[in-house]
Parts: sequence; C-alpha cells; structure tokens
Amino acid sequence: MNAHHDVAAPVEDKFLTPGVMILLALMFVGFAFALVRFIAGIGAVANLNNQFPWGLWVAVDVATGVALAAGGFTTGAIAYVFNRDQYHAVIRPALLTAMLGYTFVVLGLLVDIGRYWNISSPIFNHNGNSVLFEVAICVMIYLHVLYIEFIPIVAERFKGRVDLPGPLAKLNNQTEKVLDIADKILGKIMFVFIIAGIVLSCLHQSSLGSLMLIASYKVHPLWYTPILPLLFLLSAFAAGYPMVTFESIVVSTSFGRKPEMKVLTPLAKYMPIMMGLYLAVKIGDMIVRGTYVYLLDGTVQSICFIVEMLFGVMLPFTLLLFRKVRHSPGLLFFASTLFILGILFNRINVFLVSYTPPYIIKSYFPAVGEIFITIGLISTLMFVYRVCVHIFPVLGEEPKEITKKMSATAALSCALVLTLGFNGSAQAASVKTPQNSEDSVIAVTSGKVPMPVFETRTPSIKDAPKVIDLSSDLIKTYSDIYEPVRFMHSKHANVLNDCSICHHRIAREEGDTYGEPVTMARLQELEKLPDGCSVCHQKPFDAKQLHVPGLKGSYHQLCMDCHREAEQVAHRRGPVAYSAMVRGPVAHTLSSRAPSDCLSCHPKKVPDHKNLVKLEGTVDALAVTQNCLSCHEKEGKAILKTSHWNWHGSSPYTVGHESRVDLGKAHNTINNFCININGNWPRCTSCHIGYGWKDKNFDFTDMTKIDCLVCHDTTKTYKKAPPAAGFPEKNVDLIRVAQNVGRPTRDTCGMNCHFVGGGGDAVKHGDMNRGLLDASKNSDVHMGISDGGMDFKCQECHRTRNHLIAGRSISVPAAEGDLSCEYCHTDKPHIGRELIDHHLNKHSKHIACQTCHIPIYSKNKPTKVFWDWSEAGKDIKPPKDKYGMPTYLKKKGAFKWEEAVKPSYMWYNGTVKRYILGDRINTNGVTELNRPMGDQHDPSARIYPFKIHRGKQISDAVNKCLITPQLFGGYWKHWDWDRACRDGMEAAGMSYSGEYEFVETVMYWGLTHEVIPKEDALSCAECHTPLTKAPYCGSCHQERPEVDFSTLVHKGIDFKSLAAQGQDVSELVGKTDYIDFKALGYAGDPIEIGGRFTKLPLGLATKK
Amino acid sequence: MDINRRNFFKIAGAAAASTIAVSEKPAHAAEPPAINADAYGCLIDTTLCVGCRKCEEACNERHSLAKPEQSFEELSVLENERRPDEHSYTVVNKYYPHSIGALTWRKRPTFVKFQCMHCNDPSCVSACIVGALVKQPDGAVTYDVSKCIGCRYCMVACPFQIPAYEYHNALTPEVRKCTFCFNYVKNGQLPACVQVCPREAITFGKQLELLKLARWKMKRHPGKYVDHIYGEYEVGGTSWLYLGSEPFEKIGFPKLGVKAPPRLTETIQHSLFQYFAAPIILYTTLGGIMWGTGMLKEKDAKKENKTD
Repeated sequence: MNAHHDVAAPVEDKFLTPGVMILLALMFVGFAFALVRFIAGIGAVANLNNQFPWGLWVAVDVATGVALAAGGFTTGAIAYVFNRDQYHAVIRPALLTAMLGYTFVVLGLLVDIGRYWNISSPIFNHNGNSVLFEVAICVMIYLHVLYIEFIPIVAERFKGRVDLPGPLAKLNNQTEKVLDIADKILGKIMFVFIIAGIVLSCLHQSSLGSLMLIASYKVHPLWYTPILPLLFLLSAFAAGYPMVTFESIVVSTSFGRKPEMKVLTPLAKYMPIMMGLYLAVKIGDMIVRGTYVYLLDGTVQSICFIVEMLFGVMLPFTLLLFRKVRHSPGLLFFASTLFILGILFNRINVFLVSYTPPYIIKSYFPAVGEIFITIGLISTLMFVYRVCVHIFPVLGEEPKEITKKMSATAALSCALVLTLGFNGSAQAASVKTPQNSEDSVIAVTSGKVPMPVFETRTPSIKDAPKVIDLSSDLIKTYSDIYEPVRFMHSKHANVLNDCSICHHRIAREEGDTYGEPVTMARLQELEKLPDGCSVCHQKPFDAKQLHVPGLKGSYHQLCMDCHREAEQVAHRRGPVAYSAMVRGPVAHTLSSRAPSDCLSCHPKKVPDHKNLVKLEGTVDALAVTQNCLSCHEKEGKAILKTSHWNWHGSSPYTVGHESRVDLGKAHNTINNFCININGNWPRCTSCHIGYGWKDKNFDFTDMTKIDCLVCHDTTKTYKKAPPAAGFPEKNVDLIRVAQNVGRPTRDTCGMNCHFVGGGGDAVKHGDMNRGLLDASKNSDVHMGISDGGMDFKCQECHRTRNHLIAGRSISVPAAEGDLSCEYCHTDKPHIGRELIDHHLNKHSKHIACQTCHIPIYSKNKPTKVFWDWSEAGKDIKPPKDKYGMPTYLKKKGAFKWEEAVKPSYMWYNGTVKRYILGDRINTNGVTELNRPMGDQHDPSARIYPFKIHRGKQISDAVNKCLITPQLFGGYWKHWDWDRACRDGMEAAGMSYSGEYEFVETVMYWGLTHEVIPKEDALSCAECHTPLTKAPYCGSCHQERPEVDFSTLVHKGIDFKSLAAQGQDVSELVGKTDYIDFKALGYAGDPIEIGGRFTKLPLGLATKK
Repeated sequence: MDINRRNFFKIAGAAAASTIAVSEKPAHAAEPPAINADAYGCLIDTTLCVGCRKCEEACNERHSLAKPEQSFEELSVLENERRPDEHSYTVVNKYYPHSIGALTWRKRPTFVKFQCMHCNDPSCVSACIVGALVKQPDGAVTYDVSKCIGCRYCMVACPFQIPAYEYHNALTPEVRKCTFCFNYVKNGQLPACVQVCPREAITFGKQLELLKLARWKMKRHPGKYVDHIYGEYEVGGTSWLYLGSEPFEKIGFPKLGVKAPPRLTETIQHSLFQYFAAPIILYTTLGGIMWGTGMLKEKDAKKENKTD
C-alpha cells in the first residue's frame, strides 16, 4: 500500500494571490451571514419555510457536496482495489478534496439543522427505519475513515520535523513517536480503511437518493423512481473522475503548472463508461415507468429535466467518447465541468425543483443569506485546500506552464458553475405535480343503529315555557367560554310555527322513517329528566352510541343549521313586516336571516377582572379608564362613535332632518323638563358616559375621558356625583368597582340614568322607573323577576354590537338600531288556532302591540305630566299631592304628577317632527317639541300609546323661539330669568332679544316598557262598545256551546281589582271607549263601520 | 482455467452488479402496521363545521402557543387558505363550492379543519433520524424534542405537509404539530379542539368505531356525503378521518394513494441492511478484487523483471 508519494511535496508558490483575496472576501461575507443564522435563527437568513423545509443548503452543501466528493473513493478504488499504480498521482488531491468536502458537508449541516448542538443525538437515538439515520451514521464513519487515510500524509510532512511552539515543545518527542507509530501501523492496515471507505461511500451515496423516496407525493414523477438510490450511486461513480479531472486542472492552472494529462487521459477513458451506464439506467427507468409523458409538459420541472439530461449527461458523455477530447486538457476540462454541473443540477432538481408539496403558500427561492453561506463554505473549502497543499505534500512537485486557452476555459467553467448553480435552484413555485392517482375505494357497509321507541302524541305549545336558559353543567364541563343562551322559546314557536323542526321526530322503531315528535310532556310522562334534549343527548362521544351527538353538539347543530338556513326556511310570516319602529310601509325586512355567530346568541363570559385590573392605592376615575383602555382600546374607539358618548347621531327618523348627523341633546334638541344642555353642562352631563364635560369645549375624541364603570359596574356602588360633569362621587371605591366589572344590568342602565331622567325617579319616561329594578311580572312581563317574569336584561331586547345599542326613544333623534315587539313576536303574535287569535292578529297591521298590552303606564310610581317653569323662583311651600309628590320647587316651578295613567293614542309611522333649537314656536297655540307622524290614511302608521307631557317654558318674546336658560349656576343662583336667558343663549351661540315670555309646549313620550301580562291586556269590550252588549260576537258568529261570548269579550284587564289593590284607576273601571276612534280619524268604531282600508264583510256597516 | 486480468474483472464486475441489483430491488414488501384496536381517532364531519375557529383558540390555549395578531373571533382570516404552522397546530379553511354549471344549488362554503392526520403508518416517524417522532398505541404521533436535531426530514416526508418549524428560534427550535393532546387523552380527557367544538363536528372515539360511524352517517343521509371517507385508506390510513359533501380534492385535501410511503423506503433499507449482508458482501468482494489484482500485479512485476 505504499503510495508513490515521492513526487508529492508542499507547494511553495506565493500564497496570497488576488484570487485568494477574493476567496477571503467571500468567506468573510459567508461568515457574517452564518453569524446571523446562529444568533437569530435560520429564518433570519434563509427563505426556508414550512412548505420547503429543505433548500439550497441541503441540495448543494450536502447532496452535491457528497456527490462531488466521490473523487475520493473512486480514485481509491481504481488505484488500490484495482491496483492501477499510474493513478496514484491523483490520489492525494482527491483524498484531500474528499476529506475537506465531507468536512464541509458536516459544516453545512451544522448551519442547516436547527439544533446543531444536538448533532450527536443520532449516535444515541437510533431509528433503523430512517434513511437519513443511515446516511448520517455512514457519513460520520466515512469522515473518520477519510481523516485516518490522511494521517500518513501528515506523518510524512512532520515526521522528524515536529517543532511545537512554546511550552508545547516538551511534547515534541511524544508527538514524533505517535506519528511514527501511526504511520507504521496505518501503512499495514490502510487497505482496511480504503475498502471501508468505498463500501461506506456506496452505501450513503445511494441512500442519499433514497432520502426523497419517502416524499413520494411531493417529488415530481420525472425524478421520483424507486431506483433513485441506484441512480444516485451510479451518478456518484460517474462524477468521481470528472471531479478529479476538474480539480486537478484547476489546481494546475492556479499554480501555473502543466495539467497532469498523463494521468487524466487514461482516467478519462472510464468516464464515458460510467456516464453511459448512468444514462442508460436513467433512460431505461424513464421508459419503464412511462414518465416520458411529462417531458413536453413545458413546466419548470420538465424543462429542468431536459436541460439536466441534455447538457449535464448526454453532452459530456458524447464528448468524452472522442479521443481528441480526452487528450485535450481544455476539452477534457470542459466535458468534466459539464458533467459536474449536471450532477449539481441533478441534485438541485431532485431536492428542490422536483419538490412540489401539495400546498404552496409561499414558493421557495434561496435567500441571499443562503447563497452567500453556501458560497462562503465553498470558498472556505477552496481556501483550506490551498492552505493544505501549501503545508502537506499533496500535489506533484514540478511546476509547469499553462496555456492561456486553458485559463479562459477554466474561468468560463467556474462562471458557468455559479450561474447554473443558482438558476438551477429556482423553485418551480406554483406548478402542481400530477400525483400518483391510486384512489382508494371505499366499501360502504351498513351499520346497525339502536333506535328509541316512543308512542304517538300530539304536542302542545301550551306546555312550553317562553324563555329557557339553555345551560347545563354537562356542557360546561366541556367548554365554558360563554354564558348560557336565553332561548326565546315563544319567539321560535311563533316564527317557525312547526314544533317538529326542533322537537325532531324520532323513529318509533327501527326502519320507521316518519317517527313521532318528542315533547316535554311525553318525556315527563316517561319520567325521564325534565330537561328536554338532554334525555337523549348527553355526554358526547359515548362509545356505545357514537352517532348520537352530545347535548352541546345537538343544540348547536340544531340551532345553527336552522339559523344558517334561515333564508331558505319557509318563514310563513317574515319576522317583521309592519312596525312603526321600523320605518316604511313594508319595512325593509330586516335581514330575515337569523344570526349564526356565537355572540348573537351567547353573551361572552366576562373574565374575572380581580387580577386583570392593576390598580393600587387611591386612584381617580381617569386612572381607571387608562387601565381599562390598556386592554380595551378597540372598545374605547367604538365608544367614540356611539350616541351615548356623543349625545348626537344620525337622525333618520326626524322629518326634514333625515340626513343630518348632528342632532341630539348635546346641542340642539330641547325638552320641557330641564330644557337644554347649553350653559348647564356640569349638571346635565352627570348622566354622560364620560368625565369632565363641563363646557362646550369637551374633547369627544379623547378616549381617556370615557366612563367605563357607569355601565359595567356590578357592585351597585358606583354613582356619579350630580353636578360634577360626570365624575363619580368621592366615596366610591373605584378599584373595587373596576375589579368587579361585568355586563350592564338593569341597575347600571336604569338606576343612575334611564329610570331617573328629568331629575328624578319616573319623572320623564312614563314607562320606566326604579320599580323595574325588582319588578314583578305584573309590572313588566319581560323584566319581571318574581311571579314567573322572564327577568330580561335590557340588552336582551336592546341588542348591542360594538357598543351601539338598538332601540330608540321618540324624544331624542339619534338612533343606533331598530327594535320592536315584532322582532320576537312577529306580526301575527297571537299564536293559537282559536277564532279570537285570528281577530287579534288582524289588529297588528293597525294597532301597535303596546296599545293593548300597556293599558296604563306609570303603574307603580307617579310620573310628571305637567311642568310650569313660569312659577319658579317663589319662596312658597304648597302641600304635596295625593301621591305624596311635591307640586312646587323654587328652582323648577310647579308640577303635576299622575300614576296608573291611561295613555293617549295617536297614529305613528315611526317618524317624528321635532322642534330644533332656533325653530319658530307655534304662536297660535301649543308648541309641539316632538310629534309622532302618521295619520289614519298612512298604511305604515299604527295606533300607539303615548304619555303626554305638557309644560310652560321660557321663550324669546320677540324672536319667537324657545330659550335655553342657564339654570345650573345661573338662575338657580341669582333667580334672574333675564340674566339666565342671556347667559344660556350666549352659551348656545344664539341671539336673545332681551324680552322673554313663557309659552305652552307639549312632548309625546312613547310607551314600550311596563308591558302587562297578556291576561291583563285591554279586553275587546274596552275599545269596542258594540261588543259590550248581547249578542256580543254573535252579530257575526254562530253561537257555540263551548264558547261564552260575554266572557270572551270581557277577558282582559280588570280595573276593578286593580283599584281594590290601591291603584289609581277607579275612573277607568267600566270604560268602553278606551280608544277614541273619532279622534283618530274614524267615523266610528271600526267594528261597525269597517277598517281604514277595508270594508266589513256581510254588509254589516251598511246595516247601521 | 487461468484467471487472467480481463476475466477476473468480468467476474468481479458481474458479482458487484448483481449485488447492487439485488440490494436495490425490494426483496419483500414490508407489511403495514394494522390499525390498533385501542387506537383513538377523530372523525371530522366537514358538513357540520361552521368555521367558528373555536378549535384553533382552544388548541392555542392548551398548548400555550403564541397569540395571533388578530383575535380568533376574526373570521375574515378564513378567506385565505392557511396551513398549520409553528404557532397553530390546527387551522380551519373555507372552501367555496365550485361551479358545476347550472347545478350550483349549494351556495354554502365548506369549512375544513386541518391538523396532523396521525397516520397509521406515518412517514414522519419512519423518516425521523433519531426516532423523536413516535406513533403511540393510542393513535397519537408524538414528538420528543430532546432527541430532535432539527433536520426537518419529517417535514419533507409528511404527505399532508403538516409539521412546522420554528425557523426564527436560533437555539432551541422545535418541530411543531398537533399532539392529539396526547397527555390529556392518556388520562381519559379529550383533545382541546374536540372538547370545545360547539357543533361536535369532530367525533372522538376508537378509530375502528369511527369508520363504522362514518359509514352509518353516509347510509343515514343518502346524498349528503361523497362516497369517500378521507383517511380510511389514504397513505395506509390515518387516525383522523373526514367526511365531506364535496370531493376532497376540491376542499383542500391532497389526492393520495393507498400505499404508505414508508413501505418503500423501509423495504429498501431493510433489504440492504438485513444482517448487514449488503455491506459485508460488498466489502469482501472488494477485498477479493484487491487481493486478486495485487497478485496479478506482482506476477506482472515478476514477469517484467524476468523480461528485463
């Protein structure tokens, strides 16, 4: 095994040439990028992503690196295994290349693998199934074999010349001995390593090809073949000698020597044989697998394949068949270079171009960082090679001349390597590969299903609850993100009019395709749990009945399927057709589609804010808001757009001002209670959801002034101080309130604001007062807590999105969404099959629900019905009225109160004529500050109940317009109306003539709350006098033994017993003209003369 | 017979070629692992999914993943096709129905939740160099970060393109993918997504039972589903199965064959390395040639010396 290295010696040329300087520069750039990779991660320098986990580094640094290091084992094979001594001249350079090549493969791997510090893991953790494991172990062993093979060269260089620097000099002798022994032993057993090297190379060269076999659905069929490992091995065989040739000629050129054609030409003889074999197997494989059909696809893959085959394999193969080529250094170099490029291109193709994953969201092209790290690695390799040949006896000794032609070819080839290398790695991004299309065939076998058996039974709506909290501990154990759904059962029964849609029919026996509906009554009869769906639908994923959804699943499947289908379900009556609250005759049917997002049915659970609120010590209200906004900036921004914040907004229902957005009590509406905000800010804005609106300069774009707590307090301890421009009272424990925030309740909405409008409980709204906080069902069926009321929160009707709250008051112009009874109850609200239901439903086109269902307002608390400002300023003390309410205050003047009042009835189509500040007053009578629009002939108008509030308020005697007096800090201090008027009008930016008078005004207040239970709605007889006497309904209807017409027409509110309970309703007892039809425009009772658009059948009207 | 140089090479060459040929050819088809009777799985009924993204949120919370920029309530993200990544082990995608002329009666989009399929015969497990990925008997394909070297071969191997990688973690990047909530399922709990799904679009159960359920559903609702349980046979079967009302290629699923990719690679590997036969044969062959050519060389040398 003694190599003929008497011709090899260290090179003694100049080390630093311009070429080396360029190398150093490239190394530096590569190193810089590598540094970034190790500090900031692969993602910082590479374009690798989840679709393309392997890129340039694997394809070039590793796969191509290994393939091109094949020179080592192939020359080893020919020189030692086949004992061809003449090739020994190229052995050492090839060995050095292989050794450095593999070293740099490992370095490249260290860059590429994420947990490079764990690279030894495969030594301890084996996966024999993994191709990569085999490659890794093989490469690891082979690298060591290569180092061992290199030891003799080191020994030759240093034997007898060991001269370690400094203190290490002591070890010179020992080192010398080690080298000597190593050289001697290795000399004898080197053949073991040489053969091992070849075996290991064969194994991992082929296994590199197997690597991509596992990605069978991602690799393009042009390259994907089960014999890919064989192709890799053959191509590695073939690449060995071209690589040795390439390298030898480049080195010769670089050191200005003559190429070693003596060795290279005979070596070149083997090249076409190897290449031919590779080519033959590759083409044979293509023919066998029929993949030639992809050749003319025109895709990036097909083009790359053709280029690879034509220029990378066929051309060098053909060239090398010619003797002339093999003997000419230039041409041989060219052919070798072509093949090397072909191999490079092949590896790039297999690992990158052919790799077409099913989902390509981001395509791959190597990043600058990847390219420069690769170039840096190659440069370092070349540099180290140069260092090595300067130190070790690797290259032949005698310097030789080179021709200019050759340098040019070499330079050209190098340029070609670089260009092709980078272009080749271009990834075919958007091209999807035809995949193997072995489709699976699915055999459907029948599964047996246990079916519950029930007897037939007719369901009844009467059994059904109106509202159900769909809540179950069962559901909560699986997820507890939301609060339970308040399921409006009546609403759904009304809208759907078919119980069996939800109470789906269940087969009575196996094979029964009709089945019977499941009803509560039936379930109770069967003594099952009385909670409906959970009788069958329980825990999900019960192994015994996997096909039955769990409770949560069934609710959501049933509800949401229907809601999502809402457009398609035959709603016999769309949800809303007529409602004054929804403008227009056939109102824009609100999206008839039922909501299907989570929040439209569920309130989201408010997380416990105890730990979220980071406040300590004494804090002011603004600090609390800051804290809220640190998480809820989005909500803060939303607030800035609401009418609760701005106190004005778009006013689509105010006649003549439909497109304005500035109307509101912030500036220009006026009422006959406390009149107007101008000049009175600090007092008025104690109801504003903000802090510090104390004059007209308040900044409405400043989120930090929002008062979150006034709506979200759950402790019931938060109170705004009356004249503090919205700031809370001093004694409120703000941190406690902030830590206990939750959804608004009736307390937050009503307690501080809406129940106490106008300066006191029940003053303004006739249908709202503090009595509703713990209302009974008799006070309000929806809000009632006791006696089977439904305990609605305000926002269960007043749907809220982004802090915009549906519903509107006739007294203010801003509106953020429609709301009407029909949303739930539909326009045929009286469900039932009785004749009376039919008659009642016919009312709903002409009469609002409220008309019958709110027969009296202010049931529990007297409300103000008259306010005379002209009396103010006197130091008198008149007695209280019969309700115990004050009838006079020096500040405010004289009042009148009433309790349990019969409403006034007017036509109303949803639009309002409104007095805007500066408008001329009605000089001929009472000025109407707001008037519901509509009349008998307006099809969209219906009869609504109203509270009427009359007032006497201050007005400009010359300009004939209402005045906004400064009361707070003005009149209430100095008792001078003239001064109050001047100051107030100045604050409002209006002129004041200097003369004032008191004029009569009136306001209409809609009534929608305090809905009485249906049993206590107005009876037929209370409006329709003809029905009060015999034959009652008998004028038209035949008598039926089971129906008592007299009872039927009188069924309704019983004023007598109400009066007995102490309600002030004695004058309403026995009333039969509750609604004054003549005042509303009818010639008489419509039951006698016919409706406003229809005639009575049977000519009844003419009979009169 | 006189072994001259030429003849020797002929014989040696043939021997070597046959060794290679034998070793490259699959000697026996490795049997795919059968479905474990204890293996859990999930059946996703895509017709039930409404794309609420609760599963994404629940998964994110259970695994303490990075919170996304937009909240999980933001449904507009569904408009773009997404893939599971290092910050989300599961994503829901929205697929609009494809026009089939006048028959586009179905206007509703299909929502599909994607996550690791937990294959019966997982490519990633076969590929993993250090065995960091393991197919557990209960169905989950789990990942042991302490073994991982970060080579991302699992990502290359996965036919569903599921494993994701923390490319921006410099020191301890991990391969991230659905864990099938292994530690929870082991203790009798449910995977987070299954547990939270309001519509129970994901049915959790024994894989074999789920296949029965899927067939039951198809039979009970004729015409509702396409006649295909995705994952029943794909790449040797998967623990997660899908039912759908649209052809699966139209709703984001790759079209895959029935053969598990590891069958090929493992067959090649095991044929090559059974008892280390191939390396040893190659080694001895080469040794033999070396010895033979050495002898011939010495003979030649002697001859030359004699002639000289």
